[in-house]
Amino acid sequence: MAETPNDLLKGALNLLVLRALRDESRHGWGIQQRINQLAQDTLSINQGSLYPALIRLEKKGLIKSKWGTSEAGRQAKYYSLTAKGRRQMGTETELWKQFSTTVNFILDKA
Amino acid sequence: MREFWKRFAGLFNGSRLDDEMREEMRHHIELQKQKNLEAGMSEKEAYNAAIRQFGNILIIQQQERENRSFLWVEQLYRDIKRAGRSLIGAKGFSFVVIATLALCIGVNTTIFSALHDLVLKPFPFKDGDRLIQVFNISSGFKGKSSESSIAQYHAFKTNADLFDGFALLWNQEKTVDLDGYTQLLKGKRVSFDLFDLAGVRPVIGSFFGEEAHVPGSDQGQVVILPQSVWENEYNSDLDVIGEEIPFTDTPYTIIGVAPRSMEAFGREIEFFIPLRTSARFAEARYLEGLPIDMWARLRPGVSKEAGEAQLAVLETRWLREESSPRIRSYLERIGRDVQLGQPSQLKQSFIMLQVGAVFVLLIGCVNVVNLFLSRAGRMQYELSIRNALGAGRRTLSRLMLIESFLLVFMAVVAGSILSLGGLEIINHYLSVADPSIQAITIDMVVVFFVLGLAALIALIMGLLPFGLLWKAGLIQRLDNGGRTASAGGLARKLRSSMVVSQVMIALTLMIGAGLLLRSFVNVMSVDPGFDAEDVVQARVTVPRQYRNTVDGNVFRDGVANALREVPGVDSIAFALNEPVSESAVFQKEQIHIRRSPYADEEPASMAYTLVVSRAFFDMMGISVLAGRSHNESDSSEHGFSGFVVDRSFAEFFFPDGSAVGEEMSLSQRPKAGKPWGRIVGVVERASLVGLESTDNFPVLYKAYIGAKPASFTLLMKTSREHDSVLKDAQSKLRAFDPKLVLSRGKSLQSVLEDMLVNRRGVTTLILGFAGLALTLSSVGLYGLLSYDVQQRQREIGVRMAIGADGKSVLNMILHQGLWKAGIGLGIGLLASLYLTRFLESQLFNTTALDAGSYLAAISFLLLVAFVASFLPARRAVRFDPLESLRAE
Repeated sequence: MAETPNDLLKGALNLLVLRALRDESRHGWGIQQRINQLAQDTLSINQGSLYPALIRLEKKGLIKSKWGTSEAGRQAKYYSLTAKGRRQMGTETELWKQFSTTVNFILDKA
Repeated sequence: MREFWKRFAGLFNGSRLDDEMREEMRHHIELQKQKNLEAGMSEKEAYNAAIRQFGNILIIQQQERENRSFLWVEQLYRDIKRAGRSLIGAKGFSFVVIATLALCIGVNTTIFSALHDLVLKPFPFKDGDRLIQVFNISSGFKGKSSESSIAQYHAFKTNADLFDGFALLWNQEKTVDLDGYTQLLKGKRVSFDLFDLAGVRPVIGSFFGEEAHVPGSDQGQVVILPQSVWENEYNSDLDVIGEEIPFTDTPYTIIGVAPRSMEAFGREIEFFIPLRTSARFAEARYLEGLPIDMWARLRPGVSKEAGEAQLAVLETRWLREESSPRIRSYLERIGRDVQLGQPSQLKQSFIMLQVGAVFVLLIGCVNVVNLFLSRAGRMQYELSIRNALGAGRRTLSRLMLIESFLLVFMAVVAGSILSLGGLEIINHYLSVADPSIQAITIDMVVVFFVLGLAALIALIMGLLPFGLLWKAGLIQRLDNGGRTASAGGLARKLRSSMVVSQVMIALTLMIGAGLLLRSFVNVMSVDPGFDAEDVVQARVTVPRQYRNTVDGNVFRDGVANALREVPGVDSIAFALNEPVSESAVFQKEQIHIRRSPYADEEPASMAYTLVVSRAFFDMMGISVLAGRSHNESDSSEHGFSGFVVDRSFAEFFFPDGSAVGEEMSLSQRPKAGKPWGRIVGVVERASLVGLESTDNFPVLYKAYIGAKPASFTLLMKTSREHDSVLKDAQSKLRAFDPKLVLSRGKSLQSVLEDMLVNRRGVTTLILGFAGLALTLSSVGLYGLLSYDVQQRQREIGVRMAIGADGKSVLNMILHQGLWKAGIGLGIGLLASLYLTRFLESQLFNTTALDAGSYLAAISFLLLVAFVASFLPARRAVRFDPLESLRAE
């Protein structure tokens, strides 16, 4: 299902989550920390939006979850990318770049 | 699809998923708190900050839940739970609604099952709705006889081109000798085309052809087994074809098995054999007196009326152009008429019962709507608050609908249980009232009927009261204090007109019930013309050796002597057939009277003929009006020579003088040189065909002398208890010969009463319906007035505070109630005047406009209406005016 640029705004968080999971599987808190770290703390993700996003992505089959044991020895739900999710991340990254270039172009011109 | 199952599973393990979610959140918050601690916050601060940063957990959980399941199912479940709680809170209301509806639905389901089975459902054959029975009705004797003749059958078969075919059936008893015992079997003699007419094929083997009917042909001794007999008695043995059934007169060969649908022609059919009669039956049109049923199949698209008209034309033409003057005069005198269809009283009764049941349902529904209206009034405060909190019209009406569906569902369950019980009872009585009818079962049509009906009721109950409240704008306002609000003028008007219609319907039912009750009393007070009280009857089957070697008289004398030893038996008589039974099974014979102007022609008059022994008249208390009863000389080797006739015979054939001494013969003119018989006595008319039969067909009694039948009827007069007398008689007969068997032992009184089972059942049910209607409508009236009084508590308080006395308030309320009842009675009276004409065929010695029944119903209903209005009125007077004003 190809997404139109209009969906991208809503999908920005989705894209960030997918990106955060690119290298390894993480639990919810881990995902949030990873995004903060990648954004060098310029972006703060609200957990209230993070978990619904995780559920949405899992429902679409882009990520999958598994219960595992965290570093602290506690039960935690770990999320990882599916093959479909990895593909989706590629196309969405492309779309996002195109979109942001267009937006920047328009903004610069004005 | 997988998504669906995941959601579906989510419905059931929702709580487990919720737990996982909570666990994940807690984990997240813990880690966040850890981080906050590291950043130097205190324990408490760290936790609160973590929670704050996380956002609203509940919202996340809710979003999660919405994602994973069918929300509406969960919502429905919640709504049902809520409705259940609310209904449990209103126990009295719920109980009354469920009980009322269950009763109404149960009654309607039962009656509709019977109606559907007996009237609406076509025969279980291909195009079964085109199969129809042909009747000959003789209006002159007011008799409803179904017998047809073979000659008429041949004439219709040749000339009636609106029909695909005709076929004949004739009840037949046969005996089989097994190990010396003689057993009675019931079956049908049928014409070969019956199977074609029904459109059935043999299960195994074959059916017989036309050649089986040729007198004297050896194709005639063949038998076709019904499927159930083949399965039960022969174990579905395929080799049964070619086997013989050793009927007492002559053995018959089994040639085929007929499918189960053929049993629709009557229950307890144990064999089908070819209908064979001697050649003269085929010639003597109408007058052979065999109780034969004729069936026909209409051509596609031909109406019953068109078919009936064609047969009537054929009949008239035959009567004018071909019949002898004598037959014409006889048939015109008795008013013979051909009809198609089912003149069965039973089916008419069920249509009437269904109307009664629907009336009860209507009244019941009105009451329930009323209850819902007052409940909606009481719930108005709650509904207003819910409305103010954001529940819109849709949400609120959904809540109300769910409540009503829940109640109706429980009523359907209870009603179905009731109707299963009801069917059990109806089936029991049906087997007595008309043994040819199959037991009634519930089928899918009935189930859909009930479910549709229930859904309709639930919709009305749920939406109407709420709609009225909403329309009156009472829910959208919170400010009117809840307690004193009423559902508005519209609802009040509606409720008043509902009470009026209740009274109207109840009156109609009560008048109908009154007419039927009166008819029943009239029937019961009919003098049957004989004394059935102390007479018991039973069938005796005669073992083979007596039939072959012993004189019939000697054998019967032996039986009589053996029975005289039974204590308490006053007298003993014999009859060839059962002397008291439905007219349809009575034998008719042609009567030939020498003195008549047509004496040289073939005989052309009919009478029921009964063969009875001498003691019969005395035992039955049938008085001899002229001449004498039978004696030894009345039967000789030439046949019967002395006949006893009843009063209606004498009046029909000899209107101007005494019948005694007149010469006559049966069936045929005496052959040349042979003597005529003579009428030796006239006896009183006895209602041998049942108390309610208006059949006035002449009866002729033949002397039971000499004959050696395979079975006959034994009659004993006794003052002892019937069952024990029958038991003693059986043991005395065993002592006489161990192979003598008594069967179908019964008192004549119970035979007579069994013939009334239809009328008794219908009368009881309609009385029950009327009682139910009366109760429900008085409850309706009472409910309306008490609600009114409660609503007007303030007004009444004010009236009394400014000087109105109790009497005037009492009068005001009473006046209101009686006025409504009066309008209902007026309309109900008009409706009854019109509707009762449909009852006419069920009435006995009373008219549909019987003033007594009308007056009784009206005054009783008025009395009940008075009581139902008086109680709330008295309550209104007892209000303390200050109290009711302070309540504001």
